[in-house]
Amino acid sequence: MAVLRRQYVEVFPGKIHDIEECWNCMNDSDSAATDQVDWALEDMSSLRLMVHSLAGSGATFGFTEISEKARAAENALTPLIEEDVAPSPEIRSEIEGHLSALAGGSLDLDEETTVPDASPVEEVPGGPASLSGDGGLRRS
Amino acid sequence: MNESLTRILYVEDEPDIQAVARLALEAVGGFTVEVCSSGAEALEKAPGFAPDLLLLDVMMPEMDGPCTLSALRTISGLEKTPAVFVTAKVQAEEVANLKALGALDVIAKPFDPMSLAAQITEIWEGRNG
Repeated sequence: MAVLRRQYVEVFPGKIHDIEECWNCMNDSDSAATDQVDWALEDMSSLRLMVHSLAGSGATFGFTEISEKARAAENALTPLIEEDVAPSPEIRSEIEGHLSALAGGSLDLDEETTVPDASPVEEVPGGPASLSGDGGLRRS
Repeated sequence: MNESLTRILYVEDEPDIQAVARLALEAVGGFTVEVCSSGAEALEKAPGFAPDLLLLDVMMPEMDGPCTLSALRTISGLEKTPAVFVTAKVQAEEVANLKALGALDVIAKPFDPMSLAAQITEIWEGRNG
């Protein structure tokens, strides 16, 4: 199980990268700058699926913080998808905040977990990251 | 319906969860597990695998768990194979809806890898009760 946790930590930056790409795709038009955003339902669903996966897998591997931040993003996206509505600037900002928090979340293998046989290893390769105001991912 | 639980067809799109569940079910539970990454893959593998139990993630792209179960039910030999859903949404209404689709029970995500096999065994043993 420790090996699986370690592998999860190693692939985590790739998952964040995929979220970044999806987020950028949703916000790369001029309309994003004017807050007149109308995300495609398919894009919102893809993004929700990605954060949903992180919410589930993060918790399974004992990374509670990651799971909670991913779940918060999922919960913010779900009403938009179910009602197929464009996000208000406030909701867009909220989702961006959740994604930034997720990208900067801790994946410390020393974190207490119910997962058995977890052993301490290094932090996430590439270090924590955050979403910049223009939707881009910036590693610190 | 087989009386003993040996073979589990597990449908889950997330590779990380697949790995944990496989470990839990095979190493801890001693089951034979066929893991499928999608509903389509499950439809392809299920007839040859002849599972005793279907274990299905609910939220998956393209074919979700309920759609996958519905499609599996059309395959000869799987019409009455017991099914269990795995989901993070375990509010009473959600669970009731999934059971109404014919599921024996619903396992909450995240699951404890060390107790997953026991949880499934308990559901299996209580299926006629």
